[in-house]
Amino acid sequence: MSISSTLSNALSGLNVAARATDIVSSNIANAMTDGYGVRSLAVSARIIGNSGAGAWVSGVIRHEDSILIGHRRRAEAEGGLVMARSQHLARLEGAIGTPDTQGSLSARAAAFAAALTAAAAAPHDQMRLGGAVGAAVDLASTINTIAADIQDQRLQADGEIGRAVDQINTSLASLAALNTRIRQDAGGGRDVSALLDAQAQLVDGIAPLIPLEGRRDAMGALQLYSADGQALLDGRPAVLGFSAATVMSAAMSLADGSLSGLTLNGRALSFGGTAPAFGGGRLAGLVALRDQWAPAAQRDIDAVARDLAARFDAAGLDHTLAPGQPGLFTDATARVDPGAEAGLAARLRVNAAVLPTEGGAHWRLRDGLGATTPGASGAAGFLHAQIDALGALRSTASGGFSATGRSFAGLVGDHLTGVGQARQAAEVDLAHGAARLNALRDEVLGQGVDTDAELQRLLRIEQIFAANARVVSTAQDMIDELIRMGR
Amino acid sequence: MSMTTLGDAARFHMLQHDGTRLRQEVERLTSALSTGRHGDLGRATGGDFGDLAAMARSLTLTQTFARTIDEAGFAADARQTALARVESEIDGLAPHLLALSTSGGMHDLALALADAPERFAHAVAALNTRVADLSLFAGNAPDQPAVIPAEAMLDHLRPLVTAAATPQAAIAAVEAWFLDPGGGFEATAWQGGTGPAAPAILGEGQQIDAAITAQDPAIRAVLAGLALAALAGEVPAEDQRVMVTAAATRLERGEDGLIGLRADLGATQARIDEARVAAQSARAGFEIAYARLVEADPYRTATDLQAVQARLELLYVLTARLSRLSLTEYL
Repeated sequence: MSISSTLSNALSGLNVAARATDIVSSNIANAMTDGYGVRSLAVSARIIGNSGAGAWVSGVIRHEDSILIGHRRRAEAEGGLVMARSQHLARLEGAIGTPDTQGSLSARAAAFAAALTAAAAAPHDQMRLGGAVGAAVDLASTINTIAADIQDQRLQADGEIGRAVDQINTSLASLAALNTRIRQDAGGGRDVSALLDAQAQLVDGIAPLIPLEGRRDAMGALQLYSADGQALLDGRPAVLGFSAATVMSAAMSLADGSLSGLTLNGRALSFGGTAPAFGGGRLAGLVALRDQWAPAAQRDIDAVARDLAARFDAAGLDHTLAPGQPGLFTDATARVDPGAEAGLAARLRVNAAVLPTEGGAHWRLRDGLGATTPGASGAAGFLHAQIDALGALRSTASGGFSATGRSFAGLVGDHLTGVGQARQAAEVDLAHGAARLNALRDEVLGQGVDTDAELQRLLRIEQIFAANARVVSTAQDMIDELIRMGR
Repeated sequence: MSMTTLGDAARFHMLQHDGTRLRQEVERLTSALSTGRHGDLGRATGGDFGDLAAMARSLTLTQTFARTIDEAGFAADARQTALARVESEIDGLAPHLLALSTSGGMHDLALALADAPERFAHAVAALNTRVADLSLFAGNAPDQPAVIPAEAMLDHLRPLVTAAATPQAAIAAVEAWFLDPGGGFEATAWQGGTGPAAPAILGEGQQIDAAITAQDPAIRAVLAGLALAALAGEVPAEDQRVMVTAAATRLERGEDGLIGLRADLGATQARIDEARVAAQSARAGFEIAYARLVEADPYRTATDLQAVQARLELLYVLTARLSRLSLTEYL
């Protein structure tokens, strides 16, 4: 043992203290950084020969509870799916409108029934006939608007799928590039913590889109799989393929090839069936919105439109019409064909025969749509028949409705209730998922930087630094003493 | 790191999350309090809009029914007034004429018959009454008068009377002109529509046929009696008594019929009034039930708001305390 080894020990202590302050300052600086794993120093005693020779920094440890973070990412994916469903239903409910709002479907249906009633009470009154025709136009255009909104939702979902695919591809490529650097640096014994942070941030970015399973190989490189076992990053990054549509209509679907499906490295992914690809994330939600939920909503509103038109197409209602001619509501200009119901809600119009703007006349609502000359101004028979047609119990023939007999108002009410209850159920799921996600986030963040702990550590480092410095100065004194002795 | 720590971000996240949730709650309650309605109707009804839609529809329809009931009442009142005017023209006329035809002098008879054409004209005018530019007794053609003017009718009748060989034949011809199906009255005098007028609408599926047309047998009998009286003044003196007697008996019969008609109309008016009351109370009922579904209870909302406000204030105090409670502050 020599004084010089004392000096050397003390210097190694000073060195460790300096590295430790570096780590503490880095931790404090990143107290609010997402994906930052708290660092600590691995310090061990240096041994030369058989004796100790001070302390050395054997490495930087990055703390991360990968199981907990995995849970959080899965919860985020789940939340992404439920959020997509709940947003879709909330928007659909908004488009249909609740009965207390003026422009809602049920308010329009009620206004139409009321306007027909007012006209039937005074059939000679041109204003009331005009009012009833106007209410019919409003009703038809409300149904058009709902259908347009549903297709708009599909288009937006399609666009968002495109952006999500771009984000996933970019992130996977960046993750693969980081993997290469991690392998190199880890091999060279350098600190890879910053690279791991960058990877964690990238994975967090795509976690809400796809439920992910991640693990690291022996070299520290990240491997990513989707929960259903598709390899996303396994040596090489996977490439998702998708081309977004620019327009959308009820007639466009994945099945007929007018909409793009998703591919993984050129292989088509199936989102249907018992094992849907990427099941459970926002991406799967968006695909479901485009291919299942919104088309189902479209079928329902189509069924409402068809029911409305069929009521006025009933045989024997209007004697002035030849068989096969359309009643008050038409599919563009033709009679509504039950065989061509898809997308009817967007094409539903009021018969031009009652629209003065299209060469028709209001009085046909009173005298029959096929009438060539106005009849008796006080005849209310046809108007009453139309009111009865609107209120008649009619078995709903299509859409997601049971075949129970319903009046048109009843059908409109059931339609809204179906959407409203689905939305409430989705929001319960959403609230539940959000609570779980919050708890997990809290827990993950709880393992982040604790500035109090860092400052406490800083105090200790200060003490150790002072002690080591004291050792150095004492050793200095001792050497000085020896030198003085030798003089 | 063997030491258990708690990341700063966790505390911020928790405070931030709680703060956001509370502020959203404050937002929702404030809006509910200021508008008096549930911010999210779907949540308030649990997504079941069936009742609400039915209620809103009934409210819309009752507003229309209130209007149609008022109109029906107005039209029925106007018809009753017009029939009262017809009745006033023949009130007491039949016994008077009958008395004169058997025992009165020719001079008295002529005097009594002098205003007969005028009475006939008034009765016809009453049938052509227009209210709000609508003809009341014209069936399904409310834009037309019900019948041709009285003088035109008399012009059609005069040739029949002069052509008749006996007064009895003349009486029969005039009566047939008025009363026979497809006779002169229906063919030439009637100007209204071929069908019944629009029924009055009193409620959903509740209609009543309140319309009386000038083709009603009672009205035609009254018109026949008045026409006979009007024409009696123009026939030779020896035929006058026979015609006046015939006019008086028909007027008597007609008056009975007219009273029956007015009684029926009175019953209709009563039903319309009942319907008005029923519609008003139904509307009030719907409004209350609708409000119960749509409107937020202000007392409860205000209490909730108070509670949330207190929690939010507490959270602010905690946030301030916790952010000061850091080792940094003491170093």
